[in-house]
Amino acid sequence: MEAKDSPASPSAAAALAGTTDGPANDEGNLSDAKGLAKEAAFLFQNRRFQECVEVLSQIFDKKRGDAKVLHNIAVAEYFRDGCTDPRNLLDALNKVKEQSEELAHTCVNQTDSENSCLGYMVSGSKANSASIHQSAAINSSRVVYAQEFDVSVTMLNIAIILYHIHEYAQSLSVLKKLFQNIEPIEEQIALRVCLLLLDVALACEDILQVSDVIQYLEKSLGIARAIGQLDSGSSTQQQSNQVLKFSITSNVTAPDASTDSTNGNASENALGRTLPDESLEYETLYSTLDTGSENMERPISNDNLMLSPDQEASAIDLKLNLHLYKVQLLLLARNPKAAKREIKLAMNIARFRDSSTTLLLKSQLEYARGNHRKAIKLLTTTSNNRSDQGMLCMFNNNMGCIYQQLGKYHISSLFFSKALKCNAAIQSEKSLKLSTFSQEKSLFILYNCGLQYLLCGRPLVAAQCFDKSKPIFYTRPILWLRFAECCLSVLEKGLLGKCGSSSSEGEVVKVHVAGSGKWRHLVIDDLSSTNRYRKCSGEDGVVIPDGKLRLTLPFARRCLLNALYLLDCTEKSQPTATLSSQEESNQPTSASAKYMSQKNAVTSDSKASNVASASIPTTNGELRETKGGTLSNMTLQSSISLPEEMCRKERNMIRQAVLANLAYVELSLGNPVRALSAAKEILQLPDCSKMYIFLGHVYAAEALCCLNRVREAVEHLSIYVSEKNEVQLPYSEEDTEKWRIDKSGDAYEYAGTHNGKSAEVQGMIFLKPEAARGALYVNLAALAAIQGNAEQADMFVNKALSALPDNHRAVLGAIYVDLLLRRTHNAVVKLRQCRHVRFFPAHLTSSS
Amino acid sequence: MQNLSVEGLGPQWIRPAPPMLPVLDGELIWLNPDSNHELLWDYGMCADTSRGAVVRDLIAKALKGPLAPAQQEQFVLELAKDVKLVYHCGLTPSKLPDLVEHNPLIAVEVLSKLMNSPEISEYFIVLVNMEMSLYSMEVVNRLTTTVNLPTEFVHMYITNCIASCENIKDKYMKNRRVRLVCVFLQSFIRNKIINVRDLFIEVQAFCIEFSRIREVAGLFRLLKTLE
Repeated sequence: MEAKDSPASPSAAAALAGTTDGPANDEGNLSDAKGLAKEAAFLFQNRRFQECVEVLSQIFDKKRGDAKVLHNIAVAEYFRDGCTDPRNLLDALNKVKEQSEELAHTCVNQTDSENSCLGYMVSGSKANSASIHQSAAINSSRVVYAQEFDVSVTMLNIAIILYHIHEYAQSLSVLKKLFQNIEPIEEQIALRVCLLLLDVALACEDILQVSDVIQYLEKSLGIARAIGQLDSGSSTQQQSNQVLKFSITSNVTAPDASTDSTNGNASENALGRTLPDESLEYETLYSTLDTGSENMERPISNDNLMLSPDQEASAIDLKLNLHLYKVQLLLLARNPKAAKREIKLAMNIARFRDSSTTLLLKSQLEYARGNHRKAIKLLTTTSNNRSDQGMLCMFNNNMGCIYQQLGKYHISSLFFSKALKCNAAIQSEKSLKLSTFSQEKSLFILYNCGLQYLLCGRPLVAAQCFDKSKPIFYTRPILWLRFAECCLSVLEKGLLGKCGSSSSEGEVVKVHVAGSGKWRHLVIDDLSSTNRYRKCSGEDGVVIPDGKLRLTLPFARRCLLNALYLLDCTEKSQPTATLSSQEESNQPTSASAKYMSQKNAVTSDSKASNVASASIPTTNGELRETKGGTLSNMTLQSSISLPEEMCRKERNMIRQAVLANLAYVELSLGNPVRALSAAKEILQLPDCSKMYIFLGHVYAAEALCCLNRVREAVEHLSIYVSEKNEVQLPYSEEDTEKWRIDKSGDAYEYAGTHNGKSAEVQGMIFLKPEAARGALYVNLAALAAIQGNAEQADMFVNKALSALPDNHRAVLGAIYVDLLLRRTHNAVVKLRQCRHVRFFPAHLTSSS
Repeated sequence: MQNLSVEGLGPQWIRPAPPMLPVLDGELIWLNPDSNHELLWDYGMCADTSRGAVVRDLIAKALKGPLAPAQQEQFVLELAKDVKLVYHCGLTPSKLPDLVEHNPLIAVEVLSKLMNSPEISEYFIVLVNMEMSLYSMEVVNRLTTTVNLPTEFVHMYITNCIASCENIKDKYMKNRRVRLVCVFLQSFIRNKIINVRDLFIEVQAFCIEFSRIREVAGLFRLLKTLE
C-alpha cells in the first residue's frame, strides 16, 4: 500500500519526467523494467497475485510514479486481497487517471510552447480573425495522449468497476468519453470498451448509444459485409471497375500504403518531390490532375479492426453476441418483429453453443409480444441447469414478470421472492470475484416486487421495496411516481396519518341526534373537513426511527416534484438529441469553418455520423464509398426510429399521472394555488387522455372554488354541460380501454390477457364514465349552490342521486340543497334512506 | 337551528382520486445473463515505444523539410504495420500546414488514415484555411480520390481556390494559378467529387473573369455540356 500512496506527492511528476526523458544511464534500468513487466504480466495471467505485486513493486522502484505501473499495482493488489472492496480500487484508479492526465497535460503544454513559433500561415486578411479563433479552439480541444500517458485501460477498468457495482449512469459517462475517441485506442481494448458500453447503455436504456456502438462494431469488424451480400456484391463490382481503371495509370500513388509502398516510392520520384523547381512540380501536378479522372481507387477498409485467423472463433462469438445485443436493442425499442428476425440469425449461429442467453432472450421476446405461454415454455427449457443459482434467480424473476402480466399476482410474488432467495444464496457463496457484485440482482428484483405489492394493495411493503431499489432507479421518474402512488394508496386505505375515517366510498355519514321529541334535531358531520389532510406531528421526517418509510402526503409531493424534475430533464435533453441526430446526417458534408461552433456536437456523435456517411448518398446523387454494412445499418436505423415517438408517449403518460397526483395531493394539503397550476398543466398537455382532462378540470374547479373564483370554476365544469343542462359522459369506456392498449404497445396477440386483470387490481382504475358523470353532477350542484342558484343545484343533485344512489357525498349534497330550499322533511327522508348513515347520541355534537 | 345546520354542512364536492398508472411496457425488469467483464492488465506498462518514436521522428523531420524517398517509404511501412500508430505520430492540426508544404504525400497518407478520427474536422478546417498553394491542392486532390471528403469542405476549398486567383497581383503567377484551379475543378467535376450545380454561379463567374485563358474556356465548355 505504501507503494501506491507515495507517488501522490508533488514530486511524482518530476520523477516521471526524469525516467522517461532521462539520460542514457537509465537505459539499462528501463530494459530491466521491461523484463520485469513481462514477468509481472505472466504472473498476473496465472493468477499468482502475491508474486505479481512483489515484481511490480520492483518495477516501481525503477520507474517511480509511472501511472501504468501504479495502475497494475492497484489491480493486482485488488485481486490479491480477494476482490473485497471495489470502491477502494475505484478510488485508486481514479487517482492514477488524474495523475496521468496531469502529466500528459504538462507534456502537451511543453510541446505546444515549443511549436508555437511554427504556427501556420493564413491566406488573405479576411481569414485572419477566423483562424485566430480556430487556433484557440484547436488548442483547447481534446488531445490524443502519447502512448505513455494513455489512460484508456485505466478508464475502462473504472467503467468496469462502476458497471459491477451498478453505477450505470457513471459508468456510461466514462465509457462515452472513451467511445468518442475510440479510434486511437488499441483494438482489443476498443472492442472491450464497445462491449461494456453496450451492456451499460442497455442497462441505462440509452437506445441511441446502443445502436451507435452496434453500428460502429459492425462497420469496423466488417461483420455486416458478410451478412449483407447484396451490399458487398455491389461494392466489389465497383471496386473491380476501379481496379481496371487503376491499371491504366500505374504511375499514380495508390493511397493504400500496404499494397503500394514501393510504387509510392517510384511515383514520388516521378513527381520530383526532391527538386525545388516549382515549375516542374507544377507540370507534374498538372498531369496528375489531368489523369485524375481515372484514379478512382477507393479502399474499402482503411482503418478497420482486422482479425487474424486464430481469432476467428472469437469472431464468431462476437458475431453471435452482436446479434444478441441487437435483439436486446430491438426489444428495448419495442420492435418485436425485427427482434424476432434477429434472434433467428442468432439461433443459427448458436446452434452448437451454450444458448441459454439466446433462449432467455427468445423467451423475453415472446413475453414482450404477449405470448405468455410460449414464454413460460422457453423459460423452463433454460432452467435445465437448476444448480446454477444465478440462472435460477433469473428464471424466477422472469417467471414473476410473466405471471404479473397474466394478472396472477400471488404466483408472481412467489416467484419474485424465490428470485430474491436465490440471489441471497449467490451472495453468501462469496466466490471472490468482481462479477459477484454484478450478479447481485436484488435491486432489480426488489423493484419488481415493489410494483407487485403496490398492485396487490400493500403500499407499505411496496414502498420499502422501492426504497431499496432506489440506487439504480433513482433517475427514473416512474420510481418517484410509484412512491407517490404508494402514499396515495395508503391514504385511501386510511392508514395514513389522517384523522377520522377515510374518504373512500364505504365511508359513513355521522349524524348526531340532539334533543328529543319536538325539539329533536339532527346534526350532520361535515365531510368537507375530511377532504383535507391533517398534519401529523413530525411529518417532515420521511423515515421513522425503525427504518420504515413514513408515507405522508408531503412525502408524496416531494416524490412527484422529483418525478417532474426528471421528466423535464429528459425532455430537455431529448430535443438536443434529435438536433444532434440532424447534425449527424449533415456532418459528413460540413467540416468547414462554420463547423467550429458545433464542435461539441461533432465529438458526441462523430461515430454514428461516420457510419451514417456510409449509407447517405452524397449531394451528387451517387453512393460513394460503400463501407460495410449499409444494408443492415439502414434497417437498424429504421427499426429503432419508432421508440422516439413511443418514449415520448410514455413520458407523456407518466407526466399526466404525475400532474394529476400532484394536483390531488396539493388539494388534500390545502394548497389550492399549487393544485391549480398542476391541474392547468394537465389541461395544457398535448394529446392528453380524456380521463386526465376530466381530472384536470375537476381539480382546477375545486382549487378555484377554494380561491373564491367560482365563475372560473364553473367554466371548467360547464364544458361538459350541454344546452339543456344535460351532462355528457366526460369520457367513454373505449377511452379507458385505449389507455390500457396504448400501454401494451402492440395490441396483437394480447387476446384477453388484460381482461379481468383490472378486477384484481385495487384502487388503480379509472372511475367508470357514469360515475365520473355523477361526480360532475355533484360538483355542479355545489357550484350552483354557492352561486345561490338553488333550483339548478336541486336539478343537478337529483341527477347526481340517480347516477350515484349509493354515494354518501351525493346524498349529503342533496340534503344540503334540501336544507337550502328549506325542505327539511325531504332531507330527513334522504338521511334515513341512505345506507351509510350512523346515528349518534346527542352529547357528541359539540365536538363536530 | 336550521340556519346553523346549513352553515355546518357545506356544499358537497367529489374529488375523484387519481388512478394508478398501469404497469408500463418494460417497467418490470426482465433479467438476462451478464457478459463477463473482467478487469484488465495494462500491457502498455514499460512497453517498447521505439516504433512510435521512429514515426514521431519522421513527422518532426517532415515538418521541417522534404523527406528522402527512403524515409517516406519507412514512414508508410511503419504506419501500415500498426493502424493505431497514426494517432500517436505527434501530428496536430496546427502542424498540418508545415507537413503539407514540405511533404504533401505524407500529409495525404496521414490524413487518409485519420479519417475516422474525431479530430479530422479540425484538420480539414486547417487545410481549408491555410494559404492556398500547389501542395495543398495536391493534397486535397489526392484525398478526394482516396477518401470520402465532406462536401462542405470541398466546396469551401474551391471557393478559397477561386478567391486566391483573384488576390494574386503578379500576372504570370495569376495565370498559372488560374490554369491550375481550372484543371483542379475539371478533375473534380469529371470524377463527380462535386456537383457543379451547387457551385455553378461561382464557377461561372470565375470562367467569365478569366475567359481569355485557354483552360478556362475548356472548363466553361464542360460546364455548358453539363447544363
